[in-house]
Amino acid sequence: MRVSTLLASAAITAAGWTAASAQDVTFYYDKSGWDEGFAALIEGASEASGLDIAGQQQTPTDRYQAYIMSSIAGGATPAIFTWWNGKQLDSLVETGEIADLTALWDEAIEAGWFSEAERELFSVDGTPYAIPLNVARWPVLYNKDAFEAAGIEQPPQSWDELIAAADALKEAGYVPFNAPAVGGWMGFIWFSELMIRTDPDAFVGLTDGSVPYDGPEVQRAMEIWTDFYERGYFTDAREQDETRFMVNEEAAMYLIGEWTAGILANRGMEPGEQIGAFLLPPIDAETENSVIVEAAPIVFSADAMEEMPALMDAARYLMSPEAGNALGAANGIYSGNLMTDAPNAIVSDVNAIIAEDAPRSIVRWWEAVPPELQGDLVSQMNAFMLDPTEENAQRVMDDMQALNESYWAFQ
Amino acid sequence: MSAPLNPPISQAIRAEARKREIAARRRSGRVALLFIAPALGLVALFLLFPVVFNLGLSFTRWQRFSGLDEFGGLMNYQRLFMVPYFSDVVINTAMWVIGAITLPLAFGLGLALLLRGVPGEGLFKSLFFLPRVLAPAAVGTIWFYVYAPDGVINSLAGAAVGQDIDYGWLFESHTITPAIIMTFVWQTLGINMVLLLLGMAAIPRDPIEAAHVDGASSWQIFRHIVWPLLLPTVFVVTILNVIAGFTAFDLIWVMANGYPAQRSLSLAVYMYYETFSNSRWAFGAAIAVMLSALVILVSWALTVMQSRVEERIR
Amino acid sequence: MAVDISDPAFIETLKRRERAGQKPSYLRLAIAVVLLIAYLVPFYYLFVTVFKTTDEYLRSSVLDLPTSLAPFWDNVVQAWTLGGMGRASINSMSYAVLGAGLATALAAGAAYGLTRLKLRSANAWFMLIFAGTLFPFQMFLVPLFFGFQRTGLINTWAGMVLVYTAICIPFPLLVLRGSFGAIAREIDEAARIEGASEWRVFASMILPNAKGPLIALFLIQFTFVWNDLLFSSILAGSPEVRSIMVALQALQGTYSSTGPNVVVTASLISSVPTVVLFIFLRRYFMSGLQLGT
Repeated sequence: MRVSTLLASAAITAAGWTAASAQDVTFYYDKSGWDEGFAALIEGASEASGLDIAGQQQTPTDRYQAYIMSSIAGGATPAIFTWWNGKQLDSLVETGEIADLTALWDEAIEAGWFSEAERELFSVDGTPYAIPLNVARWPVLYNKDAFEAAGIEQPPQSWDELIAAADALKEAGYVPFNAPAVGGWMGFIWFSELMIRTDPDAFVGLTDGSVPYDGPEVQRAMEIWTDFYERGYFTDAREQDETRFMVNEEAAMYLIGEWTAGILANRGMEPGEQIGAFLLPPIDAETENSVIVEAAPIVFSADAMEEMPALMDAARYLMSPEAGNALGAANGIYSGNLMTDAPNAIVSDVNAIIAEDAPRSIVRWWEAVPPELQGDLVSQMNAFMLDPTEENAQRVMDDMQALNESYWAFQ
Repeated sequence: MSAPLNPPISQAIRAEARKREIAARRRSGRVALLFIAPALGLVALFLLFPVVFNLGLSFTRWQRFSGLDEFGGLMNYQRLFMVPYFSDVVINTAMWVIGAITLPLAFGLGLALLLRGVPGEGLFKSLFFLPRVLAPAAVGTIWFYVYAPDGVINSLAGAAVGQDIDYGWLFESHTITPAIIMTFVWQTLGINMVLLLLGMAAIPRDPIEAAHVDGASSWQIFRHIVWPLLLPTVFVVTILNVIAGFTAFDLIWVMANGYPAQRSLSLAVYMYYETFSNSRWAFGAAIAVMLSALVILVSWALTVMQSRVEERIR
Repeated sequence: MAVDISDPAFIETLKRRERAGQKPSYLRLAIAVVLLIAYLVPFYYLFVTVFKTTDEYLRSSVLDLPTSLAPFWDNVVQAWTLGGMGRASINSMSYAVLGAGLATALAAGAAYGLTRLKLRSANAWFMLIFAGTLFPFQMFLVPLFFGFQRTGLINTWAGMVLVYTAICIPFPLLVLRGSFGAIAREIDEAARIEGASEWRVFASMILPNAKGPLIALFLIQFTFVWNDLLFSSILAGSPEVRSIMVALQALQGTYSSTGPNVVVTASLISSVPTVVLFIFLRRYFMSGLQLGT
């Protein structure tokens, strides 16, 4: 009797085994919380190509990467999947498994969907291998009421104004900056921002091994960072709720990707009404103005593209303004397509700032740094945030350089 | 079946009988194999083959997208010793193993001696044992907040000294590992206690009572009678604790993931981190081999010691 | 030492000693109660937290009693929906019931083959299967991940059931080999002479004689599978097949707006089945411990 139940369950097991449904194409992604947007993109791409495309979400990010990488190592490259640009894209393209999308980009630029600048973000050695899922700039989001309460009339335009604004906010009872260290990756945010505001070239040099992590350029950035902590500019890095201090209005500013506007909107802070955006100013007039850009690519397997030419129609749809608007409407995400509507006031504000100031676009540290170093280095930066003292800054720099050196020695 | 009519039983018949018996034995053996086959098949496929495969992988250069077909020799084994925070990994692993051997046993033994014969012993036993059936992931989640800057430990300590404390137990490099080990102790001392109580129950009462009558103190009785007879159980418990200490993963992963830097990693967690966060597959396989070698060596040594002790008791 | 045990003076001292021996037992009881209270503080925290709203949690001390019991249901609903715990608990329940059930059944079959039938070098066969438990789990992770990925078993329900079944076989086999071996030979010999098939002997003679160990083993393996984070975190990452512990970890690990009250409620939810089993089947759990040693 017991045995027969077990046999029955064995039979169910066997049935489950064979019931893996046959889809034409699977679209893998790791972006959690964008389900609605992905559903819309996948539906549109299926319609446009006539293929039966199914979405497959896998989290967390490191496990997702592991899954994709081992698939490729095992000779089974997924047909469509999201990835990261910069060095992450370089090493992916190196496998020779990723489809060249030059023709599609030519079309898209012709149609006015994108400019050469975006093409560059998704290219390796001048050849585009990916299309944008989203493009996000990294401004400072600020609480308009807090600025008003502190008597700050307009967002800071220079470093001195920034310090003055921070002090005024402190005076008015706010912590100037929300700076969480959750999720294991947020440590690089202020590190890279302070680097690009003091020496953008040195920042780029960090990511290709030509500038050391314990040299004078990094020393300077770490000094400012330590100083900011001493002045009480940052929230407690041990807080687990990323946006808590913004939402309860304890903190006034938040340096983060512009997609966070959507998260804040969900928690009751209306972009444009309560939240504004500005770019952190460079430390002095001689330093080039720049902006960190994060670009999430979608890539296609070269083999799948060859087997199923209709996949190109899916790619074309995913680049289109319709797809961009679908994602914007569903999740407030900006695809970077110039012909889409800005999904919220923050995106249009940042668009306006960039049109006016024309800052240099710099690839986000996370994507620019060799992937092998990413995790090791960022956890050092997290460690600094948890213990922001001079001694620890030195230890963190030494450790980062030791890791950096051993990596580049191998290359 | 026809029985032979004329005695005495001939040679041929005896041979026939033996043949039949051998056939029956063979048939029985074949049926036995049928009974074993499903278990053996699954174990071979999902456990035994992977062990061999893992060993093979550890000699390749496989990381990230490629290198699965390149032979790397002992590269991955040497690599571990070149990791900048290797010393942290060694120290943390040592803390885990030493902590796991001594603390749950000491607390478990203390409790076992305390609770034996106390009214409501069964209820006490169950309550102290209860954390053991919870998932380490759930325990780690709760204790993450217990240790939080505004958590239970700081609130209690703050109330005791009369001022606010917001120490981040899991955010400081020198308290993170001891703090997680204490959570581990909290979860495992109950099973240590129960096992030791079972061991104590098996100790004959006569020598203890005789010693009592002779006026021996409780400590003398424990030291000279209970402890030597309990030693086999202590070894079993120690072996379980050593393995748990070497391989503890869930608690560390849930309570310390990334804080602060790699300064909380033990070898077992480091293996997972390198493999699934950094995609250094072959390196992870090599760490797993080294970890296995350590665990097997230490538990083998303890088993040998245990059998010596058991012999001495007999 | 010669003692006249009928000597009233001696009996008197014995009695006195016994009374003296009882008194400290109340002192011990008091110490035990104090220790137990300290030991249960995390449970106190757990039970007050699940009745707090996020706001209340952040504003009051963690040790304060909740102001009302009402937020509990909201916490449960939030944990259930935000963490996807509904799906995850169905998944884990099926992994644990099937994995532990199949493993115990298969181990019982193998133990029968090893102990009740005439198998040559039965010991070697046993060692071969048991060798699977010699290694720490870390040894299996890379090959299983790669193998599952290659064969398409990754992120499938069937793959999870299979891997849990396999992991759970060796230990019950060790135990059942002992318990089946201890059952009197006459039982199955007699049944065979009456013409019963081996299957019948196994199913209706041997299994019912080992009911206790079988239940205990099932419980131990059920608890293991339900509580597992390691294997399910690498082999089942997609929301459809993710286990309850992976869901819990995702809820705790993300930098989301989920308050501690919700996360702690989720860890309570994830503990309900094993705790309920423990409460009702404590006897088997405890006897399972004896089996293990």
